[in-house]
Amino acid sequence: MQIETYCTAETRAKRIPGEPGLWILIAGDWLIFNLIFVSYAAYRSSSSVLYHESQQRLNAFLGLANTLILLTSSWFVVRAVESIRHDRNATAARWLAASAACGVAFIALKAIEYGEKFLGGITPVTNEFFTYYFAMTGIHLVHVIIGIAVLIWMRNDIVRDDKRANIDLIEGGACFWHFVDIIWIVLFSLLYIIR
Amino acid sequence: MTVRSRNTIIWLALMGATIGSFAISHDVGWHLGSRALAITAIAITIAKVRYVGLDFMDLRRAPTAFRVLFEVWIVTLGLLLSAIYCFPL
Repeated sequence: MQIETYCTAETRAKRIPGEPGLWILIAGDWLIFNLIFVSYAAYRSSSSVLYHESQQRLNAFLGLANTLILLTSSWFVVRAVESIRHDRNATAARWLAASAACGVAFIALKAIEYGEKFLGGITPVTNEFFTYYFAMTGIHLVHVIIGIAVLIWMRNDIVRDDKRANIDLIEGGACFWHFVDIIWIVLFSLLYIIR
Repeated sequence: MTVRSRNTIIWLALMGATIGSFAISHDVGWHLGSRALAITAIAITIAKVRYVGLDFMDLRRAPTAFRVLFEVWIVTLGLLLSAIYCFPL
């Protein structure tokens, strides 16, 4: 009988996950998004009625579904990294494929949401809120597409050969996907929750 | 508690917090002027970001300075957003 043991977070050595260069990219990206978040909140505070009325026209259920999808995909990536640390690459590959599938589902729901807006005559130039809405979700969507590509690359890398996976690259790719999730967590709150 | 079970609990908690904040927002109505509710939503958001960072990204075992930088940054963002919603321009 195989007994699996897992060390606790406290017992492992302290280190920054992934490649240091990736964190410079994430920090820069996070700073830009923070400026956009604060800018959105500031403009919203000076035109609260317009923003409130515009937010009523969003499909909040699609926003909720996409949030749950991304959170789940992040958990799948966590499971993948855990599997790789225990040299179970085949299992990790399945978790990564599931996570990438979640990313595709996110894009599909976002396409439906955008379609609803365009069919309803709502475009990025409809008003200030929708300029922010399309800009913020559009930039995030680009990150999702890049993230899916990274997940697929990670999956292909660990199934291609028998050598041990480069854990720094795997952790870096995983952190990028979690970062994509973090951006959406804030966007979900600003756009769909605080109205 | 193993890392795996802890992360699963955190994932479930994140899902619960998301559904909970959505339910409150759409049943009670986080309407205009409801600053306390907006601040609550921001607090939940920052908490979710914190757990994704610390546990999913594994920053909980990063060097202390790196972890502190992350936590200070997200708390600052939360305070800034809360201030803007509390004191409109």
